[in-house]
Order: sequence, then structure tokens, then C-alpha cells
Amino acid sequence: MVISERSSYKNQAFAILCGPIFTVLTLVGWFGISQGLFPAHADWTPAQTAQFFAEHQFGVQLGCSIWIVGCCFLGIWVAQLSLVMARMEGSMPVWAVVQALAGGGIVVLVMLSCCLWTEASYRVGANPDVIVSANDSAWLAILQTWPILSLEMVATAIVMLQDRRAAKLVPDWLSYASIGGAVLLITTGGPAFTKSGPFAFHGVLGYFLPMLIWGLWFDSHSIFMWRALNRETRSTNPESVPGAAFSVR
Amino acid sequence: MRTSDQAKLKQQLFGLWCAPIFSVLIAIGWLGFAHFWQPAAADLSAEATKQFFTVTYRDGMLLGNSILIVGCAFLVVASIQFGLMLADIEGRRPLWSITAAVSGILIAVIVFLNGGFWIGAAYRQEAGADIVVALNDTAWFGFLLGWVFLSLQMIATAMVALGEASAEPTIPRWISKASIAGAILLACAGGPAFTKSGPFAYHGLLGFYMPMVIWGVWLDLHAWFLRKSLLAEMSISVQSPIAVSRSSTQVSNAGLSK
Repeated sequence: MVISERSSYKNQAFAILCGPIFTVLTLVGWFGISQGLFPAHADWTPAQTAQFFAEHQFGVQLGCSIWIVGCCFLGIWVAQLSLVMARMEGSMPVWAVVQALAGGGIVVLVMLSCCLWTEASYRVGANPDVIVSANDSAWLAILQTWPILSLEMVATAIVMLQDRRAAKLVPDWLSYASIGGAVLLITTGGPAFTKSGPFAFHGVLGYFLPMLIWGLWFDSHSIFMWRALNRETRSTNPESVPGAAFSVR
Repeated sequence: MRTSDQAKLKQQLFGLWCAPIFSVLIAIGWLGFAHFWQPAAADLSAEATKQFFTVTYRDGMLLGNSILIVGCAFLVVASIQFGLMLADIEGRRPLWSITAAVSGILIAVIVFLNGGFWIGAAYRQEAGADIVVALNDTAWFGFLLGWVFLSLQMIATAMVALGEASAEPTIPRWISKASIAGAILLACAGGPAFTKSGPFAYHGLLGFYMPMVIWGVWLDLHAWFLRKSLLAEMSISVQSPIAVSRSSTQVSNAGLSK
């Protein structure tokens, strides 16, 4: 091994921390600055939608740019989870690869949606129909593709439930909850069929619930991955104090 | 039947050649035929943009972007080969090698989508000018705002290369340090979201041309040095088949290491 165990530990610790970093960038960039908490409604007229993007032009541009940066951290986190899963699976890590592909797909979709929202806000005075079209496309790209997130969650749960160690990486209750969450994500398929109510792309079931499931799944797994890494490091190299992963020496 | 070690090394050599092949295809197809060496400016009127895509350079757009899409396939192979060779350097749990390879693949997917959008912008001569502008804007944002993935790929590669404890590292340290600086400079490619004119616009010096130069130089320089390392490995294999057998096993083990 060319890189030392300690460096490897630090790399992995950073990769796990990329999870909460992505969450913070999503909260600040998307929900905060980009108005993701109060998005333009699906049932608004084109003129209203155009006005929304004109009013929040800079916020949407900045917030989406921040969220795209966040996608990098999401990508690193996905790579780390894949490595952890591959190690558990052994020589034929099929679910780890599935998880990596699904996670990579989500990164691309988030980025694509951000580009479409940036486009919607880019030209004030553009034809409102074009703005509505860009906004609709962005929403459908990020929400209608819920099966990919479900697949990532289920693939992870399958491997975690097969963990035969005494100290499991992820508790079974979380894996079962993940499968439940993956099934609930079906409500995210609603926005294709309606423009108002809870299933619309600004609705509780079409948007807010899936975002909550994604965030909870993501960050709870980060916590357990962090604990497992520290546990493992402690057992293999007692001198590596987990809490001091980023300490200056 | 397993692939022989010499054949495997030749395939890996092809994997590295895919990087300059991609560069040539993007230069001929996209910059040349599709006229992106001098693209439609972001502050061009909608009618002028439509004229640019659907009349003046329509055939070049369709052909050039089709070539760009073909090039993306080579970029995927090159990215995976980069990742495999980096994993050999990184050892067990090659986090940064996988990150670099996946970032390269994501870039290929993004570029492929943008090629599709540009073809869409040129496709229908009867389309409304607003639609052509929207497709062109979307393509540019995907192409340039995706700078973060290129930065990630460059930094991940540099981290592995700088961690190589060898007197003669596979990738010289000055290149890795320059890569990190280049990855930071790529932030300029985030500018096009905020402006339609000046150096940060999507037809500007800092928003477009500089990031393209950084990308091209980074990709081909790394392909060159990795090729040098692989050729050295091949010459060892000719002299001692057992030695390369071990070496190749290490490569594949590193790639799949637990």
C-alpha cells in the first residue's frame, strides 16, 4: 500500500463528512438562497412563474451554483459508501456497484436540474412559456427519477441487512426504515400527473416528504459510517484516535 | 479464458490513447465543425442566435456535436483507465481513484447531454428563436457549470499522485500541484450563470476558453505520463513475464480491493 493507514483513515473520514457538507450546501444553497423552500407553484400562470424567476434571479443563480458544488461532495460520499459496501460484499460487489451507479446518476440529475433552473432565471424578459418549460423540466428531472434514489436506498439496505458482524455497520431498524422510505418515495412520481395539491411539484408528498426521506437516509448513514470507521480504526490501530482525524500535529 | 498479461497491457495502453483521441474529436468536431472555437455569444439577440444555429452553422452543428458525442465514449474509457492506474498507486480502498474515474464518467455524460441540446437547437429550422436560445443556454450551463466535476477529478488525481512515495513518481509532483491550481482556476467557469457579456460570459475568455485549455492540457499531460509508466511496465513484461504477471495482478487487485 503506497498511502499510509493514517492517510487512508483521513481520506475516508473526509469522504464521510462530505455527506453533511452536501446537506449544509443543499440547505443553504437550494432551500435558502434559491427559494427551494418556497418554490414557484406548478399551477401558476406563465407570467407568475416568469415574475418569480425575475424577482429571484440572483438567488436562483447563486443557490443553484452552490448546490452544483455540493454535488461534488455527494459524489465523494457515494464513492465512500460504495467502497464500504464492496468490502462487505466481497469479490462480486454487485449491490455496491449498483449503489455507485445510482448515486452517480443522482449527482447528474441534481446538476441537470440546477442548470435548467439557472436557465429559467437567466434571461429576464424571455418568453414566459420557455421559463415555465425550463422550470417544469427541472422539477421533473429531479422528482420523476425517484426510482433511482429508491434503488440506491434498497441496494444499500440489502447489503447492510446481510452484515453478519456483531457490531453491524448500520442497525437493522434503519435498513428496514430505508426500504420503507424507498417505497414511500413513489409519491414523488405524482408531479407528472397533477399541478396542484399534495402531489404537485411544490406539494408535501410530491416534494417535501421525498426531500426529507433523502436527507434523513443520507445523514443517518453518514453517522453510522463515521462510527464504524472509528470503531474499525480503533481496533486495527489504537494509536489513531478517531476524534483527532483532522487534528494538527 | 483469462486475457494474457501482454494483451491486458495493450488494452490499457489503448485506454490511455482514448484521452488524446477524445481531444482530437472535440477539437475537430466541436471546436471546428460546430464552430465552437467562436460560439454564439450569450448577449446575441434571440433572432441572431437562431440564425447562427439553424442557418449559418446548422450542418456543422449537427455533424460536430455528433462527433463530440462519439468522443464521449472514448472519454469514458480513458477515465476508467486513469482510475485503474491511480488505484494501483493508491492501494487498498482507492477512494480518490474511484472518485476521479466516476467524475470523468459524469463529465462524459454531461458533455453527451449538452451535445444533444446543441443538436436540438440546430435541428428544426422552423423552431421559435426563444426555444433555440433556451436549448443553447441549457447546453452551456451544463457544459460549464459542471466545472466542479472536472475540479474534483483533477484534485482527486493530484491527491493520489502526491501521495505516491516514490523518488520517481508516475505523475511528476509539479504537474499535480499545477493541477490543483488549475482546479481552483476552473471556478471561473461558474461565471456564465451570472453574466451575458465580458470575460465571464459563456463565450468569454475566463468563462470558456481558459477552462477548456486547462481541461485539455490536464487530460493529455496525464495520459502522456501514465502511458510512459505503462510502457515501462510493458518493457519489464517482455524481459520477465513473471514480474509483469505479479504487477498486473496488483493492478486488478487494487481496482477491486476490499
